[in-house]
Amino acid sequence: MEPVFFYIFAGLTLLCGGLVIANPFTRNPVTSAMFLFLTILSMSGLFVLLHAFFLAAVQVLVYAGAVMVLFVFVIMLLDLKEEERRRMKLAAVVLGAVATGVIALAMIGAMRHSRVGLGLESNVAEGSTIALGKNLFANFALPFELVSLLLLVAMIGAVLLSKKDLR
Amino acid sequence: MLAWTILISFLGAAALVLLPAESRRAARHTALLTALAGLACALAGAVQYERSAASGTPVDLVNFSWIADLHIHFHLAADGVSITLVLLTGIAAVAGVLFSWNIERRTREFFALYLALIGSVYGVFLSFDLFLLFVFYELAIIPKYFLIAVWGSTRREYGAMKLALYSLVGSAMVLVGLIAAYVVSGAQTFDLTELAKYHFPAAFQHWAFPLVFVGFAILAGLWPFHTWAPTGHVAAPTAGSMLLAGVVMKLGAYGALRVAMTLFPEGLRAWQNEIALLAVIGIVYGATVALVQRDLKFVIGYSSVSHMGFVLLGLMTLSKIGLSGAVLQMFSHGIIAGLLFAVVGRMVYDRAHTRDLTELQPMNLSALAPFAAVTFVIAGAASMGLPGFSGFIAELQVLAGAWQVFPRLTLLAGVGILVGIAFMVRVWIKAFFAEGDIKASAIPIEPISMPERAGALVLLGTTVLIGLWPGLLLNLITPTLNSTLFQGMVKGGPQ
Amino acid sequence: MNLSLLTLELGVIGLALALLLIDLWTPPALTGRLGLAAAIGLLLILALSWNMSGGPPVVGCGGMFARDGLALFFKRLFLAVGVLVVLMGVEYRERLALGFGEFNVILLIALAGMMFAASANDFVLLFVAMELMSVSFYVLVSFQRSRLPSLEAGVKYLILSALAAAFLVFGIALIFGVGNTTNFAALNAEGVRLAQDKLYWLGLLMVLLGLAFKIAAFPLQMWAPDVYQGAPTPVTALLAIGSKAAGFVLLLRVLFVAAPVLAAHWSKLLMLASAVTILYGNLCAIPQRNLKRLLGYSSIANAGYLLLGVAAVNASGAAAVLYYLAGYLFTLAAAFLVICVVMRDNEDIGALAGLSRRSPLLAGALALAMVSLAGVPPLAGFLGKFLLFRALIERGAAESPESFRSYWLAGVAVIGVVISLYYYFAVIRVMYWAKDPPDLSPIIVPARVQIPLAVCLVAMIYLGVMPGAVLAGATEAVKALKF
Repeated sequence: MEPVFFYIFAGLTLLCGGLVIANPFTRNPVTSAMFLFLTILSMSGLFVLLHAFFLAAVQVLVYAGAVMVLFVFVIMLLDLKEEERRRMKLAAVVLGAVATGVIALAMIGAMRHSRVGLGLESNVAEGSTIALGKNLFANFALPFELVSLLLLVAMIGAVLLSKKDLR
Repeated sequence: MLAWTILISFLGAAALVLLPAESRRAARHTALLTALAGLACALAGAVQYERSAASGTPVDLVNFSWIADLHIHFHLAADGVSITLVLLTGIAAVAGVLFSWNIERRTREFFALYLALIGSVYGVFLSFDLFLLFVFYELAIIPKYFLIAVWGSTRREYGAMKLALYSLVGSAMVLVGLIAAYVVSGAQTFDLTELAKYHFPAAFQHWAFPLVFVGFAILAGLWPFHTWAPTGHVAAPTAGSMLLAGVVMKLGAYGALRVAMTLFPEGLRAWQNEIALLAVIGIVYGATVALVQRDLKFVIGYSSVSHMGFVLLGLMTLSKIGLSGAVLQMFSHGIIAGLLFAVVGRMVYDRAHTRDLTELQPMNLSALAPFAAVTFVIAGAASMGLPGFSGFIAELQVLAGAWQVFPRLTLLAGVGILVGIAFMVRVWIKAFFAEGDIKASAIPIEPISMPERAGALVLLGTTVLIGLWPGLLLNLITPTLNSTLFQGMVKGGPQ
Repeated sequence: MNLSLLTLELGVIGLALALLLIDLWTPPALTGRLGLAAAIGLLLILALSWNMSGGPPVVGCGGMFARDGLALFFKRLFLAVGVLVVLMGVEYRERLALGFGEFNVILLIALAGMMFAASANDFVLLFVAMELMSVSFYVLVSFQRSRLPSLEAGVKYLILSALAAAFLVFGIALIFGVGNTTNFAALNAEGVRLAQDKLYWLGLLMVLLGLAFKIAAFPLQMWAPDVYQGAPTPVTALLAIGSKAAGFVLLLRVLFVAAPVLAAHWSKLLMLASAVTILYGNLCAIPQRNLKRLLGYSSIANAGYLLLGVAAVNASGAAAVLYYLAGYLFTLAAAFLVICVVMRDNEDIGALAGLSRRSPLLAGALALAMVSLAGVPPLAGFLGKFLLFRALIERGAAESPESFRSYWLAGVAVIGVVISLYYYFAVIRVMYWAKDPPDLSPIIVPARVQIPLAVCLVAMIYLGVMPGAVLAGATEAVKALKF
């Protein structure tokens, strides 16, 4: 059954991801945001197939939950009419299609010569919270700590750039 | 002794930078003293060299490790060829200062750049490490550019940029060739005498030789890469054109001889005919174009292209007589072209405020400035190659050498000489001896000053001295051509 | 986790956090002093780095963090840039609309990111270090938020950097998928087996694309001019020097520590990228009138020259890259210091008119920097280019010494150098003899600018004339790499 689910989720991810950026039916940003939500959801499905349950949950909680809510808030503050009036430029579409095609061709070409297993060989132990925690705090402690610094910079930056009074 | 020439020139330039900006007199005197000291060192070094070795082998002046990791040495040495050109530089430097005596705008900076240029030129002539040679060669580009661009005249920025770009294209070609030689030889050295011993693969020489030779020859005014020369000469201030024609063009010819021809003798033989053809085209083309110019400086500029063609033709003969003729012609042209530019730029243009032959025609300059007229006539005669001047013996040697190898081209070059006589006579008549409508007294003209007379006499004296007594220089040049460095290239040609 | 390995980085981070706290109690009038304190702190850390030299290479923190000659060389480079940029920031203070204290803090954290990048021995650390730099730069570039160009530059940098990061992450994922590890040493150990897998090639190619963005090389070079022009000048300086150097140390590590087997195959590809980058940068720089924009294109061209050394795939090429970066540091720092002082609201080259009379020191410094960038001896830029060419020609000679075709890239690079002379000399020309300069009021140069400027000038000449010591250091440093 797993391969079937893989293709379903993978196909959904690709389809919804494509609709986020180029939706032929509507230019409404809210629709894009909703498709982004669907993309993230189907990706968390892929995580589940890999037995990475914790990551799947975090994916839903953080991205589909917190980040998406923020997106929608921001979109609400914009003038949607203006966004909808904007037409897709032919050049941009062609260029995007060419770039996507090139990368896809490179991927397919490389995969045909690759010996990496095509099945889903998941390891239950690696996906568990314990294993993840051990990895983060033992092997990957340095990058993990550096990310905290990164968050600090992001916080300072966000405060500075959005502060009302310029001192 | 000779190594001091470089140091003195750069020290002089540094001293000028430190002078207060207003002291024009002090700047002039410092520059003159520096140039004289350089000339004195050159003369003393030449005498010393002739007394000591006389066998023509290079004598080490300075040699210490500079960049140890790359095996680059600060290696200065001299043989007869380089000493000849160092002497030329010394004389041209002194004369150039004398003819720049009237520079009032930023005098200090002018002479600082001028001495920096002189110092780099000395450096090129004395370097026996090719990296060092290249550094000095490139170092000369900056002062050249600014001397023309700041103190020049007609279309100075265009002329300066053109000269700088041409020089840089040439030196870039040279650099690629030099590094390739450094790597391919496997010796990991830039020392000229070491590299000359190595036999480069023929296929390598076939492209490396034209690359390096043309890279240098661009600066020597090789047709069709000569186009910087007329515009550069015209744009430059008087001393600038004197140095450009007198010394900088020699850098190119010297580099072609010292580096390209010494390192790649097989490539040289493969390309000998083609380059000789270009040289002869340059001789005829330069003279013909000079014949129809209206601007006096353009006439001299194109005549330089023509005369440098003789140098290149002489180099391509690969015989001792032709090569020594080429070196002598470098010296001779440096002196004569310097003198011609001095008369045109300083004595005529600064007073008549025009160089246009049709405008000069009615002025009757021979009456207004007899000294200028006489100097120009003598210099012109020297430039034509009349006996008694240095140009005669040099061109004679070149033609004698060329006759043995390229008889047909030599006939063409002879035509070039005839055209050269024609354009010089035209200039004499038009610029100085035409029947003027304007009365001599009608134009107030400042008299020819002492420094100008002194400079003119130095240059005239030199060309006459060498013309009457060529042995002075040939004694330096000929033994050198017998030395091991030149064996590779001379062997192929007829003796 | 062996913390003693991280002394220098912890020092910089500690300095940043301390400044963040002290800033709270510092009255606004005294914030300038904080900048000077940061510079002194960085100088002390730089001095400390000499205490750490020597000793065998150590790998720690789960095999992620390498302390070797290469890392140390680049860390010194970054610390030196840091000192110069912080001092530049002090000069630029009044023009920053927002908190000057935070500006320094973010700058220091970006610097820490670069220093971690210098030691990265694992794709995870590589990615985190790069993101640390990128996120800091998002904020720094758009720091003058009341100025539209600054904001525009910030958004541009954000979007394109995100694109590059996407390539990078995807590449790392592919590499991890094939190799089952992200560690450079482990990947190298499996190098021959992995090289048979095309998916691994694709992964590395995408990582290289991500790095091409950082060094502003073709095909991800288009952001540089806009961002350089819009960003506050000290940030531009840090981008031009620090970010580029960080990109190159990562490029060297990925190619010659993680995948030396593949690097040899990619010489041609790198040469092509280098040739296009050189020509693009130099040709586009010709018509520029805005000096910072011009330096943006010139920085693209310089990325191309530096790529020559990488494409040479030999030890002398890598050493040449290090040497060139050292010279480039002082050259560009001098140029940006002058821009910082002179070009207050007008960055057009015309604003330099008459500078030689307004301040001979500044004019001389900028002129010398331009001459060095143009690659004229006896300055650092010349020797750097010479070393790069030499490495490249060695590479060509190793393939087939006799045929001219193996040296084609040297020809292209040389053409680029010749083109560049045109626009660099144009800058000098304006300073020394522009017609009727509109403003001839003398510029007073404060000591906090004079001293770093003097240091830059001395270093530029020293590196051009006496390259021995630094070149030996660079040659020693690249022994950490395999070819």
